[in-house]
Amino acid sequence: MSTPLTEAFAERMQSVGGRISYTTAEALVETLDGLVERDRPVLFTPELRDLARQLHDAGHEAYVGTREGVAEHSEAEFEEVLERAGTGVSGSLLGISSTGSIAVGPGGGNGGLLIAFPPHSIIVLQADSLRKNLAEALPEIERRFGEIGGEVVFVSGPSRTADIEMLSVVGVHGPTGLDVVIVDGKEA
Amino acid sequence: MATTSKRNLREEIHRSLEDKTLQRAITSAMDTLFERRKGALESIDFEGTRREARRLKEEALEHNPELLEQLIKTVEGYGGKVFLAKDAEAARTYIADLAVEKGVKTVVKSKSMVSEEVHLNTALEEEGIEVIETDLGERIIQLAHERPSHLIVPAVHKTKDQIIELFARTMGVENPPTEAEDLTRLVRDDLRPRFMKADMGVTGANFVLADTGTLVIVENEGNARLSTQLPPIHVAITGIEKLIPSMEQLGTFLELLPRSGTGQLLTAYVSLITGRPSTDTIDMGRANAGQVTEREFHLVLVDNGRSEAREDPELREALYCVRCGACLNACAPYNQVGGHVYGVDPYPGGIGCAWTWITKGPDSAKEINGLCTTCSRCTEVCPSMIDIPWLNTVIKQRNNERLGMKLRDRVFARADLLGDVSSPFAPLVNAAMKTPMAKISMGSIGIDRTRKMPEYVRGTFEDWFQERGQVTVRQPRRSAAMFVDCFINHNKPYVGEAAVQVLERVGVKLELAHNECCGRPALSQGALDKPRAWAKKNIERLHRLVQEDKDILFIEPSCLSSVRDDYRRLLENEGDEMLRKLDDIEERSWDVTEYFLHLVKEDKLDLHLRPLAETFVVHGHCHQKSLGIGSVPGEALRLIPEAEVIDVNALCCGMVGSFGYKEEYSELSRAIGQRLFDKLNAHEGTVVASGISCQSQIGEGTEREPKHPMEILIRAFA
Repeated sequence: MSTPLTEAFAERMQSVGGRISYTTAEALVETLDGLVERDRPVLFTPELRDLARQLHDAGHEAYVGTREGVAEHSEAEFEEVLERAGTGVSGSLLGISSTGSIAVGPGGGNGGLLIAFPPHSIIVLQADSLRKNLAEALPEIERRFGEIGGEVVFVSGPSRTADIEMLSVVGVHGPTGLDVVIVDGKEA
Repeated sequence: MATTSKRNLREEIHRSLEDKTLQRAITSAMDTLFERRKGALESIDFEGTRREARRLKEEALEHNPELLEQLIKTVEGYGGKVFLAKDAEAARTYIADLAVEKGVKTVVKSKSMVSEEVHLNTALEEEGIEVIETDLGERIIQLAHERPSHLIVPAVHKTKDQIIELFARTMGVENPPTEAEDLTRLVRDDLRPRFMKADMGVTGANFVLADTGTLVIVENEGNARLSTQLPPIHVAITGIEKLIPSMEQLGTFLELLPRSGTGQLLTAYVSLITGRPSTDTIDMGRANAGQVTEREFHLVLVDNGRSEAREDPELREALYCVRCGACLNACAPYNQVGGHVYGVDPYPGGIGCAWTWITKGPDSAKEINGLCTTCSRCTEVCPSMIDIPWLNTVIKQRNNERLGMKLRDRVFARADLLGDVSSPFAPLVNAAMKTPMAKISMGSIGIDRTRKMPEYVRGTFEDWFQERGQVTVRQPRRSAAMFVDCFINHNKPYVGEAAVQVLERVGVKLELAHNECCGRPALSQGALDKPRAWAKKNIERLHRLVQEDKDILFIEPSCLSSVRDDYRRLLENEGDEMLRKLDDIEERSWDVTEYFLHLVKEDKLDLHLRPLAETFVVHGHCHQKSLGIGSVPGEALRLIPEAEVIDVNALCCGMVGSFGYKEEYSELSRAIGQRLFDKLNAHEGTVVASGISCQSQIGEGTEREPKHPMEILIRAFA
């Protein structure tokens, strides 16, 4: 299902270095399986608990970063897992087409680290959660503030800088790579 | 650091201009930022959005005390601590004391201009605490022991080669990489472990929502993310003017800030952080592990002169600044010398002068005040519509009041009087001005003696107009009055004559406005009383003309800009009737070239112009650009058959009234001009410039003789 909103979103996200994949709800695990860094822990935000379990079952070292800052499925310490993590996978609240951004509400606690700390970030975006612009998105975010647990981050591409001679460099303190997986988008 | 000792600004400017590496670094960065901004703004209605932003800022500041009260209650409600710091010392002491109490050994910081303003790092380091700047640009500056030279690209004055050398020297890397990407990676790898063991994270906040207590942090690198997420204590430090009521207002600012700053639609991360749910801290081997088991959040709201500025009707609007830096990228002097000449404690540029006054007091602002040429290019780009030139004019006036006005500036302030006195004795005055004696006198009062002073003519423009008596205009379609500019009247009457003749050919019945000086020469020196008196007289006079259904025409764009922009500021307290009259006048005021073009289009005139198979190289006047009519001269000349018209895209000529004549700035003025001269000299043909001071500067710098568009048009009518 390709719409002008998804297309505009994808174009803007790609122009700032984000990669786009389209998938369906059924094929999501398979898509993630193909995207995550191999042989390194994969950390999921709490709302993606089921996906974490399925990826764990598929042989990945997958964990859920919870509000308490510990990892599920394991006795492992959150700190230790976080340091080794190759990929952080996060759900999202909505996308913004006009700016190519995704609002991530990492579920409070230490969830906010998952989109910034591991070198590779994956954000799952439901195609029907795309909004036209900030003006449409912000009131919705405001309404959902309570359930989100107080933190929302608009992500528009991987971390970047131009502090050296205005040369664009992708990958500073945040991830070097950002994959956005659009669920129920086209090419399913 | 703040310096109270007298600086030798002229010498500092000279050193910056001589530093070719610095020149290269700044010029290319500013051009890039300027272009990126332009591209990003294509997707929004900039004028409409910034008018809205301005309104929202005004409203928020109006209600600042209530918003503060609400915010404090909200943040304390969710377990955060709020400290209202009345000055810089209170702010840095609070944070340093907190760090000591909590056993903090290492602090990671993401970019915060307010923390620079209060000299936070020094206070922490005095307690033996290690402070790590984590924004790449700020880290470079920290390693180099320098101050940020730009609001959003702090290390913009450094080239890559200098950074390579710096890393080799300070990071213990024997052969540092040479690509920007690898240099960035080097810093990332160096800072990662420091993030993990840091005991406290300090960030700024671009906006704070009063109702939910939400911090809004706009960034690209991800360092603000890590600084707020990893350490067990998060301290946010920001100015009290950053408060807005709620999320409802945020959208407008988010549309403008990234576009204006870096030319992005949105930065890589915009974090909205509300509260600190009491979660376990992450122990990665930090010094204060065990001491802080529950996450802590402290919000330090810095006043440091802001409340006082809020009560100040003139300086208040400086508080609407969102620190995007667009004004710096548009500023001709900044583009030439970079930030450090401004003293950067820590705010550079024209807006920095106002902020220095607010946060550091009049003495610190005094030195950098004159660097604003009041060309108004910044006002075109400011997302909060701050009239930065006006702020600088007011500061100049206050400094004049405190310290007395220089003789030289008093001379420059009275362009009207100089003309009246000199014109009758023009040959004598012109000869006298070239004598060594005159040059010595000029030098002794601070005028660059190598500058050629404008020559006077015996018959003024007004004389010419009166002497030619009644003129019959065939098929008159409009009546208009000419606002007489002091310099055209006394120094270049032929420009006025050309304008009159062109307009009469398109059916305009003209008279003279018999106005006083517009006031700009005096305003530029920070003298406000005379211009205020003139403005009142001019408004009465021009309003009578408007009531007689006449348009008001300006040959010099700077005069028009004074009447349109500065009169409103000068007469703010003169009552509504005066401002209503000004509204009426504004509606009927035109730049001559704009008016000509308007008539041609509106009345679909068939001009039958004579072809001129020549090239015209056009320099746009800064005030034409700020009035939104920058393209007018080129458009008018394109009406001439066979004319080739080239618009050169340069910042500013650098003269800006008297700026270029002042000894401390004349080298800077010439350097600014040189960029224009090079662009003009790339083309053969006649140089066209609408401003009289632009013409002087270009004439001196290119040895070509610039013409006003009207002087060209009249030839095509012949």
